[in-house]
Amino acid sequence: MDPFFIAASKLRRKHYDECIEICDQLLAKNAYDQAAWFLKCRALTLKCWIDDLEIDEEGMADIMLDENSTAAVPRPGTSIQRPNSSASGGISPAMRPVTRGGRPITGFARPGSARPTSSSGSIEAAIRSQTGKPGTARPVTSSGRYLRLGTASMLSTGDQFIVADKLDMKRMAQKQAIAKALCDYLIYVDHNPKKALELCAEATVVSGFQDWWWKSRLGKCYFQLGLFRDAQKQFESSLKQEDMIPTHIELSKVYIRLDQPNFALNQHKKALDKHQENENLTLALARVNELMNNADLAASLFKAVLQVNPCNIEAIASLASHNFYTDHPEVALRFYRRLLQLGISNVEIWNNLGLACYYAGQYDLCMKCMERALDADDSNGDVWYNIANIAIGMGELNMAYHALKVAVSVENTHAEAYNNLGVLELRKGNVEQARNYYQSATRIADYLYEPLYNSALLAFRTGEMQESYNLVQKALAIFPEHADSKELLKTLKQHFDSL
Amino acid sequence: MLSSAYTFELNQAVLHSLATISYFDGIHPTLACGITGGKVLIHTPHIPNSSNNFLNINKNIICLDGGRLDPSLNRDVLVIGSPSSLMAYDIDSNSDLFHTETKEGVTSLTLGSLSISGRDTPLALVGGNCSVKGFNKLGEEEFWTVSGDDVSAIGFFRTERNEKRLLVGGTDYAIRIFNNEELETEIMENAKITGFAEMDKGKFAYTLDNGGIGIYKGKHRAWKAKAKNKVLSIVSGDVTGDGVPDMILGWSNGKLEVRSENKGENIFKKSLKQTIAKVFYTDYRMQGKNQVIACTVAGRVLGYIKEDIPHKEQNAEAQQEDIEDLMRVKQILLNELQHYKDAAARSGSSILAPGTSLLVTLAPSPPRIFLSTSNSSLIKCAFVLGEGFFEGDSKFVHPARPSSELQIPIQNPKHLGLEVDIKALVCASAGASQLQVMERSIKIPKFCNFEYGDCKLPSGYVNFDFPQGNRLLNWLQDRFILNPSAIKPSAELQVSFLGESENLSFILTTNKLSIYTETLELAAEIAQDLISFFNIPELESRADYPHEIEKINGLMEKVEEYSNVRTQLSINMAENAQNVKALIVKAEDSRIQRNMGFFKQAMASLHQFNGELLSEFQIRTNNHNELLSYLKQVNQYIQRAGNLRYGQAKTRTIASFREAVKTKNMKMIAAAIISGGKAS
Repeated sequence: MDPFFIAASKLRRKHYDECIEICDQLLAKNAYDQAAWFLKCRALTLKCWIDDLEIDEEGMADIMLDENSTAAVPRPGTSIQRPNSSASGGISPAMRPVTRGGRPITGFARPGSARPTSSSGSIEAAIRSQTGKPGTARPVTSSGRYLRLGTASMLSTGDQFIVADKLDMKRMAQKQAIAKALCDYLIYVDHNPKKALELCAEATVVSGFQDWWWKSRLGKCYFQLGLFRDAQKQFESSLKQEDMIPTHIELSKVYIRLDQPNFALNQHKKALDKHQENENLTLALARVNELMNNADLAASLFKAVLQVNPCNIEAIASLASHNFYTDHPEVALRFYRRLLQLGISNVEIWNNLGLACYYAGQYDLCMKCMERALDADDSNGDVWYNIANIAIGMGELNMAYHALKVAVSVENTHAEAYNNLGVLELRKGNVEQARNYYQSATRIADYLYEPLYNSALLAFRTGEMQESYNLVQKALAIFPEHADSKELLKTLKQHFDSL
Repeated sequence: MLSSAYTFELNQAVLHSLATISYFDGIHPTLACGITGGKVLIHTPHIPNSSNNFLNINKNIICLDGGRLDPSLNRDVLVIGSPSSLMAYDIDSNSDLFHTETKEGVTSLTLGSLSISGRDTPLALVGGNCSVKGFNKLGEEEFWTVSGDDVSAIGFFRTERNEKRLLVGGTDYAIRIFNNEELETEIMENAKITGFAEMDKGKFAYTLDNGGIGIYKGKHRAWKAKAKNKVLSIVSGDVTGDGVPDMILGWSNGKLEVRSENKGENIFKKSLKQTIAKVFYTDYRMQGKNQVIACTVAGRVLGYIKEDIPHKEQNAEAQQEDIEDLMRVKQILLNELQHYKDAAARSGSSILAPGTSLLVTLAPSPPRIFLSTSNSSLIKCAFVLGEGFFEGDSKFVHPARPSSELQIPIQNPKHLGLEVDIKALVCASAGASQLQVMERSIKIPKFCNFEYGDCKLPSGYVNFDFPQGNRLLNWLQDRFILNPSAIKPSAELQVSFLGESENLSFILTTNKLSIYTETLELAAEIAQDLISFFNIPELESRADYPHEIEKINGLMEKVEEYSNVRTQLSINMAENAQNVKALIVKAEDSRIQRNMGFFKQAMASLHQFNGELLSEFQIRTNNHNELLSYLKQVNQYIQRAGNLRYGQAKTRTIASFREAVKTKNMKMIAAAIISGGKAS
């Protein structure tokens, strides 16, 4: 059989490595075999392809140093930086814990869910919150992130197939089919948006500005380079020519970056009118709603996704956590079981299952689940922390104490664990120990209100009124509706008045 | 008559004329000011617990305005123009209405509605490089028209028949009145127009860059005034409460003025010591009564309200003022009488012979005004006043030795046709102690720079049907310095003129007139002048300018080239900016870890990237300026091609030329010049 035909068939069957091998042989025979070159280019691209619609991480440097958002202090509920507070229908931090970035925890780990809420903090704080500790070799800009993905894929593909710097983009753009394959290669394998942009710019001229594909790729390149306004222009122009779902989503992503979620929501809704019940669009809409803390809206959208595709993992996971945090652990349990049926078995699932069992009253199962979680990974701080929680609930304070100790030993930045340790120490009467634990919790995570309230209470009990007042003020700054803190503040004020 | 109501500080320096008071939430008045660093300050006094908000535009803000752009939104939006883009932003919902690129730049901006295909559509009208564009709520271009030069001011007014007209002021000193896309009237002023305000029906006020202000009634000037300082902001509002709007002016020296529209007399004056960035007449306090509000560049906002003076007192005051005025006039007349008495008392030898008169004529090659006395009396000096004609509007000629003749050379590169006033000091003899002032005025022909003579036919021409051929001579005599007997009137005629940079020929055959010039610019100007002189309602013409078409092709290539480089430059800058950001974080990271070696290294490369960014910015700025200047030239050609025609033919020419430029179709450009893009 013709080796080229086999290669093409391999590509179709997603046997990329074998396809590349055959193409290599063909190219060794004839280096100018355009068909083989094209096939190899496609195979490499498909092999390294990532869904950049979903995986979109805003680098720390971008958040800290750019002022892409138009309004510095927007009205609450109109921005990602200032999402709805619990008073106006958002998620209450009393009901749902927050991530390191200070955002409510979501059911599905996405890069955006760890985004810090404020860009006003120092770089030092950002380094700590994003990467956990300084010195980690994580890329700090979003383009750097893509670049890193690029070098990773380079390792897997061995030598460099195309040297982008040596290409004459003007000449390449003349052959539209090859140019398209090359463009995707540059974006997904080489991660070189600059060169890809050059190619797109030439190619879109060749096509007489009539090809939506080139425009959407131009937009993608601009987006990766951080030129959001240019990206927006290209996406809009592309949409005018061809109404494509990915372009809609990419355009709303631009507006998310510009911190104009309302515009993104409208964009999604408009697109949904045309492409009704589209899974990707509904999912994207749900994500934006989740970013804006519209939990109930997001949940109903996730349900809509499940009606179209009952196997959508993101929707199941998000609904599970939503139900869990809105006091329906037995419903959450069913969702988690569904995830297990879909073949996902990892620490997080077992951990969540354990918690859901516990809150649903199925005590016999919960410890089993936790054991499973530990079997998968026994150095996960969260699992130990949750074991401690269950233990506290069952009155086994000694076990809880030990579990928390393990939690902070495996993960020394687990602020919640420190806080709970403090509470347990206080019960034992070790006031100084407790205070130390609270303080370290606050130092690690300045977005938690619990340790602040706890220390305030402790200070009040030990008679340090001023200290207590300062601390409770800080707690209320994080969570203005916290009833206990308000109560404490009232008592303090009464006390000061009586003086 | 106005008293201070409130003063507050914004604690930020406000940029010149970048401020607006609008209802961004539909209910409460909000002040939005452009401040340095590409930011907009939002001051919301009526919303509880709100501090000043800042909007990051991240671009130089050239102009901003607030108003209803989307009627269905029920609130105002903020429109911001930067050198290369325009954005409309809804503050209340924190989302853009649109953001578009404007290649021709943004030099002025006003929100208002125009009727587009019969419907009144709210538009953001943007003045740029030789063009005015109107964008609707979706950022689509719904309106486009050319204007002579950079647009420096846009405004509206209503004619006496209550029809809406668009006012466009340019850096070429012209005020153009548009009825939608069609140019109705063009008025020449003597400095850059900086602002407009709509007054009573049929009237509008204008301000100039040289400190001039005034009011036009239709196309005729009602009055004008001039000061050393500049007016930075003008707004109209009925401060006196007499039903007629007054002018509220904010001056560069900090003077806040209210003038009546009738003759411009001062109603209220107050010096604020700081340059005024913008004045408003609106109800910022929400108390049901408008206030005169001034916002200074230092960020101080002052509000004034009208004091209620009892009617009687007001009457008495007015009477007092009248008496004072009359006393003043009396004093002046008395002084004059005294002066004549003194003169009569002195010797009579130096008095001019009775019947002495001053003759004023024009002479060609080089063009000059020729003054002579009717007898032996001498002209000591002469003062000529012509607005916009001379530098500083006037010229003083003082010969070393007085003679009975005086020549005043004139230059008229802008082809102005106007009346100049001449005041000459005439005396009987060189040693005479008494001088007499003689006043004359003379009309300067529009094309006085051209001299009658024979020459070779210039390379380009434009020709059109011209049934008024027998009256052409009248026009020639009115517009050129021409000896009446030089040309014999006839049905067929060939006349040539020599100019400084180019020559000019007219060939008249039965019902056809051809104008031969080297440049399109001159031909367009002559065609427009003919049209206004003969009141031609529609003019269709053919033109051929091979050299000019070649030039336009060259310009288009340059535009293309510069736009291409521009993309490349912005990509490079974006990449360098990314590197800088990454390095800052890495440096900070290593500092926290006390890894000073790497910290130093990162800082060193940061320094290098920073330098690169700066130099690239310089390149980009130059590139941008070049691009703008080429685009401007292209727009000027569009206007010239349009000006060869009149009426529908003109509109069609401009539209087809523009389409050709958009699609880069050189053949279409040539066709637009030659036949006005007429489908043949």
